[in-house]
Amino acid sequence: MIVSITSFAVLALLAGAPTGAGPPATTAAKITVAAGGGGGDGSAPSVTIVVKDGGTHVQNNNTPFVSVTPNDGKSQLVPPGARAELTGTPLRAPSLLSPNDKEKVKVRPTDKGLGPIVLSWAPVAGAKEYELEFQVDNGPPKLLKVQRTEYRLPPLPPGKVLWAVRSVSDGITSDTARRWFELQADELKLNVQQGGGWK
Amino acid sequence: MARLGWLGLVILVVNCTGDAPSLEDAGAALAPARLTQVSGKVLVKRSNGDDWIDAVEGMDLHENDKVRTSSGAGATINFTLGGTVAMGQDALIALAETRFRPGIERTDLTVLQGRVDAKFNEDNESISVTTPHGTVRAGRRKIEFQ
Repeated sequence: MIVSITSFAVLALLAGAPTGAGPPATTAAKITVAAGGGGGDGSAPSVTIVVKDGGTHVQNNNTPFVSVTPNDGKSQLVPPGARAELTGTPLRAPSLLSPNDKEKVKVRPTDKGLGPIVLSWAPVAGAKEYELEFQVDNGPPKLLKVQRTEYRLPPLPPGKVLWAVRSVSDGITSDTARRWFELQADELKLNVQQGGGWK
Repeated sequence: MARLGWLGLVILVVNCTGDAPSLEDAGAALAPARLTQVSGKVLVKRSNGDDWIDAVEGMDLHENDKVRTSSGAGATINFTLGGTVAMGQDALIALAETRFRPGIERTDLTVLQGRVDAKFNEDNESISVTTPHGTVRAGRRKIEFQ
């Protein structure tokens, strides 16, 4: 994602033109200089941050140093009296890869249960870790934090396994992607010798 | 050097004669922030709790605690290392983790929703805020992040 100062918009604002006079806000961080920015009344410098309408709006009220950094972009200084808008895409939910939704997964039983099964999902830009939750039938759900994009489940009892993954970055959590699969014991086919041949 | 040794001994004796600090006191000393002003319905969710509890003025805030203001409510948070954050109505914030994680820049605060105003009274005060769309860093001096 590209960060840039929309200089056309800055000039337009200084000239008192409507804020929409510049190019469309397709960049992740749009910096505009507001006429008569705050901080001139002798009060302590401050910065106002508003998160709403799918964006983060930043107003520098005479603070000497303010910078904004979109999730996947470069830092950009916001001068005193200026406004910035971060409109980068919020953290996405991961796309789950395997097992498929509603798949019947047959696994050889071990003395500890069925498994192992590996859950996997696609990496998400900006995610620093993932929260994984899984539950077998109506058993207690288990919540884990995973740094990788896969997780090897421990041996489980047969049943319906619900699993859900969400992206996490600095306390920000994405929507949750959910799936389930049916875990079944892979039946062993025994060949028994009867008479002269195998059956 | 010898004087410092005696001083240490005196401090040790004084500490032994008083009540031992509770775990809560120890936690309070480490709290990165404190709720200094609460108006209207303000709720706090502790990092190790599932329930939202009523916020009270003077309440210490620890890493991963969340604070939520209802419609018409507001709250002010003072950070131990400097800086004051005023939350507007219908806002939701979380205090950042204080532990260092290699390769990951930490921030002081996460704003998930609503408006906050961060004010800097002293020269050395600064704050770093994460939102769903990026990170905002502000202070009276340029902050060098590694």
